[in-house]
Amino acid sequence: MVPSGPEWMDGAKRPITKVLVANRAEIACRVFRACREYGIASVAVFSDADEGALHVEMADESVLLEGDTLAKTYLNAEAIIAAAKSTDADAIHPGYGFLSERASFAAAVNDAGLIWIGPSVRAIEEMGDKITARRVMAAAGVPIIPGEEIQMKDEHSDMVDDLVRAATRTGYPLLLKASAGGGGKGMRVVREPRYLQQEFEAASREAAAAFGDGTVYVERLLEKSRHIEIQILSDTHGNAVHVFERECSIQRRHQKVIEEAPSPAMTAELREAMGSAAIAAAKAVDYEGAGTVEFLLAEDGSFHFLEMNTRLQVEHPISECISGLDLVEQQLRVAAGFPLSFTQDDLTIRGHAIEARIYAEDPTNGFLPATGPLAMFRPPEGPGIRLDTGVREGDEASIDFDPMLAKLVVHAADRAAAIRRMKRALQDFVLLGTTTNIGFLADVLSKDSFLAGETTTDFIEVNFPDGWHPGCLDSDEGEGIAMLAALAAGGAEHLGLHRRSTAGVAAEGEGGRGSPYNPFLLLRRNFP
Amino acid sequence: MVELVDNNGRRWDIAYGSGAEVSLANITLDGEAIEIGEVQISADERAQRAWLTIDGVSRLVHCVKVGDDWWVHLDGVIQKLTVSEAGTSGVDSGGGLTAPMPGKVLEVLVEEGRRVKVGQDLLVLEAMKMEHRISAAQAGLVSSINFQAGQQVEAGDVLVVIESDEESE
Repeated sequence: MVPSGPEWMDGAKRPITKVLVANRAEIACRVFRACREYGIASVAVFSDADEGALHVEMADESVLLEGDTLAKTYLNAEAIIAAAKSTDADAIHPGYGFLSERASFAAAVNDAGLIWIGPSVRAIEEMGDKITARRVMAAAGVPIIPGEEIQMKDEHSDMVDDLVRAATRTGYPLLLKASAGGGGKGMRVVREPRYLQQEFEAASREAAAAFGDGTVYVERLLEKSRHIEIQILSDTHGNAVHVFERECSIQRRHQKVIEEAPSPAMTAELREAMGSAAIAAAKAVDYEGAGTVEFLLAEDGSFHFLEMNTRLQVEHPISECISGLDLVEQQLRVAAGFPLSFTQDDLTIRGHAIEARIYAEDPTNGFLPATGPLAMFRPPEGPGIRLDTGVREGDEASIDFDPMLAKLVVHAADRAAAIRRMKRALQDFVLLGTTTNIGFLADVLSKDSFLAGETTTDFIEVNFPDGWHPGCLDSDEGEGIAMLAALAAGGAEHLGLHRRSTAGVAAEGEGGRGSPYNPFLLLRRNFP
Repeated sequence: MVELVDNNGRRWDIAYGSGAEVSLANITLDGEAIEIGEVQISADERAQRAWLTIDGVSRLVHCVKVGDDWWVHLDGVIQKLTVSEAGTSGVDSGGGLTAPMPGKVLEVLVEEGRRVKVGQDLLVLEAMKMEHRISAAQAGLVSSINFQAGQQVEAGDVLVVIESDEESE
C-alpha cells in the first residue's frame, strides 16, 4: 500500500508520510506523539534491551536492531536505513545523541533517497567540530571564548608539550574539551598546571571511548557565567527566526539538570543582541530546521559562542511552552520544504517555563548513576505540567543507557509561579525503587539564590559546598519527616505489606528484576 | 521489633502492637527513645499504600519494598529505609568500599598495605561512558584490593577494603 500523507502535506516539495525515529526513550516518544498529531505514520527501532519499551509501543511499527552493542544497534547507520527502507518510511528523525550529529549518517540517509529531518551535511560537519565551529563563528562576527586548538599528532608526548604551551597562553583556570565531545563527556576543568596532564589523559580517553576521536581543545574557564542558549528555526527558503533563550546554568558534572525560559538575567537589548548573533551563526552555515546556539554570558554582560547543536535539544519543551510552537512539527514542515509560516515579529514570550531532568542517580554520592526497578512511578498532574518520558512503572533504570528517566516541565504566568509549581510537582512525584535526584532538584528550587535568579554555572558547588543529603536544607522539618518515614516503613514491614503487594514488585525482590520479558512485570505496566 | 537504617545512616528501632491496624509501642533513634503521640498504621485497600495516623491526623504513604529496602513517599519527600537483621549494626562498618554501579575498573591508584587519607582517590571506574574517581570515605590502611584494571565490576562488589584508623586505635 502506498502511504498517503496528511492533507497539510499537499504541495510539499518533499512530502513526508512516514517517519522512522533513529532513537529511543523519551525523545522517540516525543517525536511519535507529534507524528500522530500531524497525521504521519511512524516507525521505531529498538535493541534487545528495549524490547517492550514505551517508545516501541508508541510507534505504528517497529524494527529490531540485532546485536548487543550500541555500535550494532542505535549507532548502526546501515541497519537503521535498511529498517526505513523495509518499512517504506520516507524520512528519518534522529532525535538527540546517538547519530543525530553524525554528518556521515545524514549523508547516508540522503543518499538512500530518504528525507533527513535536520540540517545539511555541511552544517553538521562545520558545527560538529568545535574547532571549525569557532573559526566559522569568528568569521561571521559572533564573539568567541579565548582559547586554542591542539592538533593531534602521531607522538603522544608532542601533544602534551603543545598542550602545556597552549594552556599557558590561554591561562588558568581552563577547560579541556574534546573536539568531538558533548554532554559533559571529554570535558575537564583544570585549575592548576600540575593537574593538566592527568585531566588531559582522562578527557581524551573519555572522548575516544564515547566519540572515537581524541583531539582536544583548551579554553579559558569563564567563572560566574551563565549558560544561555538561543533556539533557532530556519527554513530552506532563507528565513530564520530565534525562539528566544533558555538558561541552563544549573549543571552537575557539566550536564544540565534544570533549565528555564526566559532567563532571569535577560534584558530586551541583550536578547536582541544574542538572538541576532545566533541567527548570524545559523546563516553562516545555511542552517535548516531547529538548532541551538549555546553561549556563555559572562558577569560583565559579554556573551561568547560555545557551540551549536545541530539537532533538537533535550530542553526544547520549555521553548515550546513560552512560544506556543511545536518544534517537532516545525522540523517536519521545514524538512518537507515548507517556508516558516511566521516571522520574528509574530513570536512573543508567554509566561515562564522550567524543566527539571529526573535522573536515576545518587545526589548524595557525586551524582553517580543509580540502577534499579521503577517499582512505583506516579508522575504529578495538574495545570501547566508536562512530562516527557520513555519509561513507566515496572521498567528498570539500567546501566545500558543514559540515566535520564524523565523531563518534568512546568509552565506558569511568571517565574515565581513556575518555581512554586515545579516544587509542588517534584513533591508529588512518586518514584520508588531506584535512587533519583528528585529531592535534590526540589532543594535547588528552594534556595534563595535560585529564587533571586542568581543562577551561574557554579550554582551547585556554591550552594551545596558540602554536597547534598536528604533534609540538608531544613534540619527540623527533615528530622520530622525522617521519623514519619521510619514509622511508616516499620509499620509496613510489621504488617507485611510487601507480601500483599502485587506480583510485579514481589518479583523484583526475588531476583526477577532486570528481565523485560518477565510476565509479572508486564502485567504491572501502564499502557498509554 | 523492626530495625531500620535511613538514608543518612541512622538507626531506628521500632516496636509495634499487634493487629491489622497496628499501634506504636516505642521508637528509638540511634538507641535514644523518642517521645511521640498516639501512632497507628493501617494498610490501604490498594497495594503499596498505607495510612499513618498520629494523634488522629492521617496521611497517605506510598511504600514499596525492593530487596531489603523500603521506599517511602510521604509529605512530598522520598526516603529509603533498609531493614536490618536484629543484632547486626546495619551499616557497612567493615571499611569495604563497594562499587556504586556496574562498570569497568580503568585504573587502580593505590597498593595494598598503603595508608590512605579521607578523599584520596583509590581507583578510576568507567560506567555509563564516564570516568568516575572512587575515593576513600575514611582514612586507614588498604588491606585488600579485589579488582585489577580492565576487570568488570557489578554494583555492590567490594572494590577495596580499608582498615579504618579508628578501629585499629
